[in-house]
Amino acid sequence: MNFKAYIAFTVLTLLIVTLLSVSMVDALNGGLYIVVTFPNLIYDVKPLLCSGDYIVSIAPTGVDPHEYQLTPANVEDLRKADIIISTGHAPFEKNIEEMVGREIKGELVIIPKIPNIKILTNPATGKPNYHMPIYDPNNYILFIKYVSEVLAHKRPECANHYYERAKDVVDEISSLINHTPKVNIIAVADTPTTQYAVSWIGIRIKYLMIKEHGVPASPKDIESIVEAMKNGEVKLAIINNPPRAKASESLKELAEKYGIPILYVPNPIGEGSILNKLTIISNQVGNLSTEIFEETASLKQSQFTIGENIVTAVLSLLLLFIVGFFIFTKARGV
Amino acid sequence: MRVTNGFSKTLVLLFALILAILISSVVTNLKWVLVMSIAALTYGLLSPIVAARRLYFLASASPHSALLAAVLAIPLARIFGVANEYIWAIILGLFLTYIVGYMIHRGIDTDTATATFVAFTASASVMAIYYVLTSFPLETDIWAIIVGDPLLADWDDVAYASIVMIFTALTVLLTCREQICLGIDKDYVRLAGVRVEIYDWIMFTLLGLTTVALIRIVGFVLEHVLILLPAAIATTASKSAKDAMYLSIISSFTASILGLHLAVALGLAPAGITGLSLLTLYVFALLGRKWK
Repeated sequence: MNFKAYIAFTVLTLLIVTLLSVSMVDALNGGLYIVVTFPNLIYDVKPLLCSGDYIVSIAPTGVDPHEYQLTPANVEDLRKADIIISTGHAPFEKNIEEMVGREIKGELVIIPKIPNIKILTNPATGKPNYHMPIYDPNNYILFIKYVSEVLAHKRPECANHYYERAKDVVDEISSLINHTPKVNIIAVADTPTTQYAVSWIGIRIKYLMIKEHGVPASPKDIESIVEAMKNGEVKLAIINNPPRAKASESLKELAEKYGIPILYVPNPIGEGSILNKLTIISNQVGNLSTEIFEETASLKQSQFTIGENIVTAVLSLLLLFIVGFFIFTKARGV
Repeated sequence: MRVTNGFSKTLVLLFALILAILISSVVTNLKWVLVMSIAALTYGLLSPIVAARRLYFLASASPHSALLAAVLAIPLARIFGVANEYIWAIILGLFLTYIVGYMIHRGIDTDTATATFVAFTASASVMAIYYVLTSFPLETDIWAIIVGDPLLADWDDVAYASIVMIFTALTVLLTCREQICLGIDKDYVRLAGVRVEIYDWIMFTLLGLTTVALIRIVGFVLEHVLILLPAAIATTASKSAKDAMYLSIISSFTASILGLHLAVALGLAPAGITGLSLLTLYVFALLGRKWK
């Protein structure tokens, strides 16, 4: 055997041994490989896991999952997964749904499809709001119970561990629900992602600065918000924390201008578990409740009526046609 | 007499614009009216110069470089921690526009240089958007750069856009005569001893600056319309360069302010309505030209 052939043989043998040992370690380990689509879900699922289980997120921490596209490394993770947990609304999550049964063999848990999960209606679009329904503590309890059952089914030897961890989380959430003061007020929010975080307290979001992710603000919406703040219909402004987005900054500015209290909601896809985020909200509601509890004050009629809108539209179109006619006559003279 | 007539025409136009801004701000919101007016006036002033220099293709390509610059500015501002995203976007945008300017200066055909530039910036934008969306924080909203969000502009944005508008207005008013002459006969102007390169540089600076600086307010999509259509209306319906300038400002301003009011009344995005209003005015100009 010449020298080159000897080297090639050694490298090949080492490669085979390495690959075999890796697969053997995986097989011996026996833990579950769990893939979550949004990075924040790690904080919610990890406390339930048993020794040897491994959890990984598709979208990295800090990026906007709504715009995320799958990479080859993500597809590899999905192929290896025993369980995939998805919020079921971002475009890349739809791609994952299509891959299940073909490239993906693991069990897919789609949060909005968990039995009895309550899906709220976006007040601005009238369509279902799929932005993190587990931010509602009652939905969160259903989610934790369901995930623990799926985990127990996939790894029966750890079933008791999964159920016990789930029970601890459910107890904490139930206690939080009981201790949080409840109100009955109308609020304005910067984005629809805050809706689930506050609806369980009795805060009904009626106005939104941004109707849906990626949709620009419309002047009519903002004028309605200003009007509702002026006439006292809106008692609270709900703002994503930290308020760095333009919509959040604008709403904060308006709330300060009209003296409306602000409730800061930790970003649902930011770091930390839903339990921690709900605790932050609960503490704020306790402090704010004296300001927002009482009044369901007599609401003045909104000044922005359909009639006014029609007059504005007709006048604008009329002026546009007058200028158009002026240009028309100028062009005729050329 | 002619000078006095032109001066009084400018005064009447200024008075009408201020009156329209005041009335509109009473009906809606002063900040929105100012943002829309500033964008309209900036592009209304620049558009006839683009037409005079026959730089339509380059002007329509500028928003591509603005998009790339605005997106790349996000990571650069965070990585270096020096200067904000606006400053980085302007530096990058001007640098990219100067590259085209240099290519044209070196004798490459304007359309070929622009086509190469569009190919590069469009491809690079896709990569930059992907990189930013998959690696940078949640508050980065690329959609706001593409569709524009004038209603969420704050007072700092108004001040920033005002500075850009004043710079554009002064530069256009001080150099428009030379720019128009350059558009008519560049060789003659060069033979007359004018340093053509300086005016080319001014033109590229204006294009780069206005597109990059206002992209977050107006949006990538509407920038194309606001740069090209006012001049198209003005050149169709005016007899002189001065008339074209007035008409460009009037049409751009009218479309923006009425676009805002219509958007308020109909509950739609103002950027889209403004584009449609400008298109309506252009149709009027075309009809007038046809039926003279």
